[in-house]
Amino acid sequence: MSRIVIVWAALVALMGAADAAAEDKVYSLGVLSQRSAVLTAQYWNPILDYVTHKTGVTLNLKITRTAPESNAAIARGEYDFVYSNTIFLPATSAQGYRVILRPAAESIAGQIVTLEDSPVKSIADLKGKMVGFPSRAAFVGYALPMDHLLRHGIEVAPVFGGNQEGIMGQLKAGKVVAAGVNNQVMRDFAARENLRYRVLWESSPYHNLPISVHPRVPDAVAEAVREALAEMETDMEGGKILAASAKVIQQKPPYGFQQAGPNDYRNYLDFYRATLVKDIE
Amino acid sequence: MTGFIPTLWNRLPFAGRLLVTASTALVIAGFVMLYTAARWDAQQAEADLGAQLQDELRVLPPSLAEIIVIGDFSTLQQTLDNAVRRANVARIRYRDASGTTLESRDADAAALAPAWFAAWLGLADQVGETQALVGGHDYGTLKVVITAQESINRAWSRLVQHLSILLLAIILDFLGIWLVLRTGLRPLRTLNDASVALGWGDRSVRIKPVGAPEMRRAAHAFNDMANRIGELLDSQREREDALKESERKLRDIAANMGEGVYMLDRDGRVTFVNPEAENLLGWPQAELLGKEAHMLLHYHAEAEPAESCPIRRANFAGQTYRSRDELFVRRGGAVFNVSLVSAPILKNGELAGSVVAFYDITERKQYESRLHRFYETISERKPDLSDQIRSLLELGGRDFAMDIGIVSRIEGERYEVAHVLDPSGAVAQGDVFGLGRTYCRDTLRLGEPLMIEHAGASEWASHPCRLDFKLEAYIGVPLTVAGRVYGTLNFSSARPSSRPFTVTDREFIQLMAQWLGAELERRQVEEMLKRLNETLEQRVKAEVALNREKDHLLIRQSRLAAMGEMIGNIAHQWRQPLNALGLLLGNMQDAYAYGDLDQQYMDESVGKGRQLIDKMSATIDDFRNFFKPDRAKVRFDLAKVVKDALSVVEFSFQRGNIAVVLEGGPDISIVGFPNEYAQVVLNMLGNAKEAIQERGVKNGKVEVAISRDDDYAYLAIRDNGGGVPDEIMEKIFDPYFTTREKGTGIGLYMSKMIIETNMNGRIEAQNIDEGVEFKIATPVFKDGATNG
Repeated sequence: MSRIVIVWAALVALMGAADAAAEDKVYSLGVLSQRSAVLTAQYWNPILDYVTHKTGVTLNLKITRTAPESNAAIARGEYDFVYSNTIFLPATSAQGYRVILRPAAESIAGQIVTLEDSPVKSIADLKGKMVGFPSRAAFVGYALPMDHLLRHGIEVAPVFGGNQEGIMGQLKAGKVVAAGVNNQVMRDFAARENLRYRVLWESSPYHNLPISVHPRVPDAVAEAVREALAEMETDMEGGKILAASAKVIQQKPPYGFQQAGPNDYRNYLDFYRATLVKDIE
Repeated sequence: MTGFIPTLWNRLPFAGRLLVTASTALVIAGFVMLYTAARWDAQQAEADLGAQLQDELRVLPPSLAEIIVIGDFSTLQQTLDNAVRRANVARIRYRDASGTTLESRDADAAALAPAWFAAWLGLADQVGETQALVGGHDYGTLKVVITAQESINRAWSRLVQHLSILLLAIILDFLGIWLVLRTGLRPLRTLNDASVALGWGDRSVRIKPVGAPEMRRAAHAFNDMANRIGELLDSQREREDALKESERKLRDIAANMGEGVYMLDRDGRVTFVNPEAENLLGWPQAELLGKEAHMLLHYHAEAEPAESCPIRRANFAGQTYRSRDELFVRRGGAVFNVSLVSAPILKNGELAGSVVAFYDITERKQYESRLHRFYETISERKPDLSDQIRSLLELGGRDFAMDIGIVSRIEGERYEVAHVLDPSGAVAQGDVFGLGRTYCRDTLRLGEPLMIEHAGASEWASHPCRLDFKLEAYIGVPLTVAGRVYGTLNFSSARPSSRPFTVTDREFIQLMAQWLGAELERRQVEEMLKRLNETLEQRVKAEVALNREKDHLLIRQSRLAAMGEMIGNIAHQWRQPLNALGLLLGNMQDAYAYGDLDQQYMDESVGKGRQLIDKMSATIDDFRNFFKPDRAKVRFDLAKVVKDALSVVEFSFQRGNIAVVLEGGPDISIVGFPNEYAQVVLNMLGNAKEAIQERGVKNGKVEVAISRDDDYAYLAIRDNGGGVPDEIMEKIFDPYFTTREKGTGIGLYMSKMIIETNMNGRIEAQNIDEGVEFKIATPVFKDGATNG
C-alpha cells in the first residue's frame, strides 16, 4: 500500500513539475497574414493575454508581412499554434499540425467578384483579363477561384495584392476587372468602403481558419488552450474581450471558437488532392 | 572720486554732455533689449523643444508599431536611423520586453556659443520615454532625446547680430549728434551775443532765424521778446506821462471844484488846500501848509478831547469817515455846518495821509429849518381858512423878512386882497387895485416866482408899484387852484431886502403857493360836497318816488295788456251764446210769423235767452274777478289758479295751434296773491306763445308741470319756442329788457317782483332741448305757519 502511495505521489510530483515547466515556456501563435500586422496584433493580443491569464500558458503572437511568409514559417514548423488554413497544403501538412478549434462564425467561401457597374457579366468574360487574388497562399481567395477558372478553361492573368484587402483595394481602384476573394472579408470591406460589387461565382462553404497545434506541444497545454478559447465567449470577461477585438476588424458575431477536429476540415484535404492549381503556396 | 564725476560733468561742453547722455541711454536700452530678447528666445526655444519631444513621443510608437509587432529589428533600426535625422532629435532608443535594445544617435551639433552663454541661457536637452503598446500588449519602451544645442547656437547668433546693430546705432548716434550740434550751436552763440546786447540796452538787436526749427523758433521768440520789451518801455513812458498829466488835471479839478478840499500827511499836517477850502475856511493855503490843522478847522466842544474826535481817529487809522453834519470853524471863530468825507491816502499799501472834502451846508440847514416851520404851520389844521392863511403869511413874512404878506384874487385886471397880513394896516382884506399897479402882474406874466431885493436900485425903479405904494422889496409867485390861476401869494416891504434872495427862497415860496393852492382847492371841494350832501337825501326820495310811479305804471301797463287778452277771451266765450241768442230771436220771429208764438213758446224762449245772458254775464264776472287786484295774502289752490289762467289763454293758444299740456296738479296750497300769481302764469304762457309764433314752430307745445317737496311748490312752464340766447339769459328779468319788437320789457320783471318780493319765492329760467323752461318756486302752505 505504501509503495502505491509513494508511486502516486511521485507521479503527481512529476506531473506538477511538467505543468510548471509548461507554464514557464512561451508558446507561439502564428497567424496567417490576412490583414495589417497592427490590426492583427490589436485583434489577437487581448485574446492571447486572456488565454495566458486563464491557463498560465504564455502565448506569444507571431506575425509575418505576407501570407507566403506565414506559410513558410508553418512549413518550417516554427509556430506552436497556428491560426491558418494553409496547414492542409501538401507543403505544410508534413508538420502534422492538428486542428483543435474552429471559428464559431459562419463558414467562408471563395468568390469571384467584380464592380457593380463593370462590363463583366460572367466568368467567361474574364478570359485573358487581369484578375486579382490576395496571394497564392489564399485558399478561398486564390486556390478555390483559380481552380474553378481552370476547370472551366478560363485562363486569366493573375495579379496578387498581398492580402485580401490589398487586392480588394486594387479592384476598387479599377486596376483589376475582377478578384478572387474571401466572401466574408469582401462583404466587410465593401460595407466599410461603401463599395458596390457583383458576385460572378461562389464556391461551396468551408470552415474558416482553424487553430491547430504542433505535435511537439504537450497535450495538456494544447488542451488547456483549446478549453480556454472554446469557453471564452461564454465567459463574461472573455466575451467582452472577443467583442472588443471583433470591433477592431469589424467582425460580425458569433465570436470565439468551437472545439473541432481534422474531420471538420476534410474538404480542404480533398480539394488539395484534386486541385488543378499547382502554384498554391 | 565722488567729486570727480560732477567736476568732469560741469566741465563738459554741451556737445559732450549730449553725446554721453545719448550713448549711455542707447547702451542701457540696447542691453536691456538684448537681455530681454535672449531670455525670450530661451523660453521660446525651451517650449518649442518640449513640444517637439511630445510630438516625437506621440508619433513614433504608431509609426513603428507594424515593425515592432512583426519583430523586424533590422527594419526597426533603419527606421530609427531615419527618425534621428530629424532636426533637434539627438537620440532614439528602443528596448523590447526581452531586453533587446536598439539605439540610433545623431551626430552632435557643434557648439558655437561660449559655455558661459549656454549656462546663462539655461537651455537643456529634452528627454522623454513612451511605451510601445499594441492591442494592450507592451512590446517595449521608446526613449527620445531632443538636443538644445541648435537653439543655443541660434540664440548666440542672434545676440551677436543684435550687438552689431547696437554698435552701429551708437556710431550713427554719435555722428548725428555731432552734425546737429555743429550747426545748432552757432545760432546759440548768436542768441547769446544778442541777449547780451539787449541787456546793455540795444533795443535794435534782432536775430536772423536760421538753423534747426527749434533754433529758428528760439530766434523768433528772442525777436518777439525784444519787440515786447520795446513796447513795454514805450508803454511805461506813456503811462508815466499820463500819470503826470492826470496829477495836473486832478490839481486843476481840486482847484476848481465846488467842495473844499485839504490834504494831510500821515502826521496830520496840511499838505494841500484848494481855493474853495480857502474861501470857506478863511485861511490861505500858505498859512495852513505844514500845520496840524484838524483842531484848528474842526469844531470841538471844550470838554471833548482831541483823541475822541472821529475824523481825527479815522485819519490816523487809515479809515474813511463820512458825515452829513459836522461843524467847521471859520477863521475868526465863526462856526458853520459842513458835510464831509475824509478818506485815507495810501501809497504802496501804506498810509500816507488823508484827504478831506467838505462843503458848506449852512443854507441847506436853514432851508430844512424853514421847511420844518412850514410843516408845523400847515399841520395845524385850523377850521377857518383865514386863520390858516394868516399863519402862512406870518411864516413867510418872517422867513423872507418882509412886512406885508398878501394872498390876492385876480380876475382880469382886478386885483383883490383876499387875505392880508400888514401890521401897519395900510392894506386891508377886500381892497381892490388895478393889476397893472402891482408887481403881481409881472409875476403872472413870468409864470414863476418874481424876486426884487431893491426895486429902487434896479430896473424896477420906475414900476408903478414902487412909485404908488413905495414897495422896494418883493417876492411873489402865481397861485393856482384846480389848474386855474387864482391870484398870487406875495410878500413885500417898503424897505429893501436885508439879504439877497436865494434859490431856496424861490423854492420855498413855490412850495407855499403849491400847498396854498391845494388847500384852497380842498376847501372848495369840501364846501361843494357839503352842499351836495344837503340835497342828496331829497333827491333820493324823489328818485324813489319816481321809481315807484314807474313800477305802478309798469303794473298798469301789464294789466292793460292782460285786459286786452281778457277781452279777447270774453269775446270768444260770448260768441257761442250770442249765436244761440240770435237763433233764439230768429226762431221767435219765425214763430210769430207762423202764428206759433204763444205764451208758452214766449216764456220758454225768454227763459233760454235769460240763461244765455246770465252765462255771458257770469263770464264777465269770472274774468273781472280774475283780474281784480289782491288785497291781502290768502291761501289758495295752486292747481286751480293755474287752470284758471290756462282757461283765459285757451282760445288764443287754440287759434295759434299750440298744444298745452298740464302735468301733475296735486292738491297744493300756497299762501300769497292768487291773481298776481295767475298774472305771472299768464306772462309765462304769453311769452311761450309769442316765442313759438315768432319762430314759426309748426307743432308748438307748452308743458305746464306742478310738483312739490316739503317746503316748496314748483310750477314749471316749458315751451319749444327755441329758447333764449345764452348771452342775454342773465338780463331777461331786467326791467325794460326785451328782444321783441313790440315787447315792453316789463312782463318778466313784474313776474320776478311778484314771486320773489311779494310771495317769498323765486323764479328761474334755463334753456332746455328745444326751448326754455321757467320754474317758479313758492313756499307751500303749512298748518300753523305762513310764509310771508
